[in-house]
Amino acid sequence: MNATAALLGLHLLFLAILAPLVVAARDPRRQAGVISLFALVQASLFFLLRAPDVALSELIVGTVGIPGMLLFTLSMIEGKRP
Amino acid sequence: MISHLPFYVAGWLLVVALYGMATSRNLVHLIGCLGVVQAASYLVLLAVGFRWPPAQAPIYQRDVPLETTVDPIVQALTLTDIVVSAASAALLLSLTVQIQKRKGTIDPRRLLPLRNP
Amino acid sequence: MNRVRTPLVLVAAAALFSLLVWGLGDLPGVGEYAGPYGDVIIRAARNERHVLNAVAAVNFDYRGFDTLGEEFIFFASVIGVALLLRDENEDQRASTRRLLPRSTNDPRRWMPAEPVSLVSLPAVGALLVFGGYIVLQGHLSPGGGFQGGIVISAVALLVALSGGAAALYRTLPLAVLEFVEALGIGSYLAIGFCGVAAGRPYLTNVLPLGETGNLLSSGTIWAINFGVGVAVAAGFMLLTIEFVEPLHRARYRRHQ
Repeated sequence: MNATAALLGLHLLFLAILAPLVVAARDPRRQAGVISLFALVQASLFFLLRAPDVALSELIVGTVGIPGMLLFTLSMIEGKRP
Repeated sequence: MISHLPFYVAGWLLVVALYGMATSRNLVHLIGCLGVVQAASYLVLLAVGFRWPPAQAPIYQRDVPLETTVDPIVQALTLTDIVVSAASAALLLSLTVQIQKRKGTIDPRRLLPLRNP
Repeated sequence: MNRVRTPLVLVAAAALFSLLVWGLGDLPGVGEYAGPYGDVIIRAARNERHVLNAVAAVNFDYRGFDTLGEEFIFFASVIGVALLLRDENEDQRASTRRLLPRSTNDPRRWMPAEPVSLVSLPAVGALLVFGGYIVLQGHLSPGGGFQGGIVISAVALLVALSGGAAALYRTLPLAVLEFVEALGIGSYLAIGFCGVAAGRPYLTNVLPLGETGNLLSSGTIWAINFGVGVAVAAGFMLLTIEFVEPLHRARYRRHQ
């Protein structure tokens, strides 16, 4: 039980540190990577909070879906090759 | 104090992301920050329904007697939230592409309505 | 401008943060959840609805009308993305089709690195099976229409990676995807009317409930979950194609 509490605290700490990093990554390409990491920590936290359904969808949407869409949009805007 | 920590972390995420959105120089970066705002709402919802000492996830097995579980309702709400966040991010990003096409920039400070009618 | 704005934002953010700490601090502590609703659903779901995943029961039955609205938000956003990203005139796509390389040694052909094809083509089958499993078991285990649908939709990305726009047009025609998307959303609406037909309110679970734990159990929850899975899979495939296709189109134009 104490191990779970420590893990929860660790995840919250990671989230609290990663959020400013998401904001500070002013280059959107780098930001997409940080967002992916942020979502991974979130998904892991949701497993600990006994919400496997939510964790599964955050894992898919947050780590792959949204960063992918950000990168595609950037390529489209900059007119670079896919 | 310690038992409210997830709430405070959620508040921190919200404030940091709002700061990022207000000072953003790139609409794509701004949409990335919006994701952190939504993360704060997931955290608040799930923290509200959590039970300590850790209860079961709200998923049973067929012939096992029911036990105390965490709240399934907030989890369903969070699930809805995540799908909507993906859909809204897609819509906002395609709006960004159109803005770039029409105005030639995605810096919110150069998109002031009065400057370039 | 900037020198005024940043301090202003910082002050406002600090004020908001202290307001949040003050407000959230008066909530019951995390872990002390006592609300009756969750426990009522927990007790009702397995006995009343023959469903093992209480989250699915809330999403597709107890709060089914909410999820219907959420599905239409998703539908509207897919339509919005399609409207915004498709080029202004409709025959752009047809002209792109004319530009598509015919022969295999055409230099404009999309040639991925070999390891990419090696990984992504077998992954198509694996993803279909895994996504289908997550969709079908939605009422029995973690997962369901949303999660499984998104897993399945990643197929579009793999096809684009390994075969480019030509492969996308061939294997996932937009007209078919649009139809499947509408079919998925429409089935949700239609299942709701089963309740009305039986003289009960809209979205009442009136289909046979089956035996708890079986694949075909839980009545409308299973059916709606499946419809949502179809709609989400087709919808995210459409989103993926709309985001990936312009890049390929630009590439063909450059080579023209």
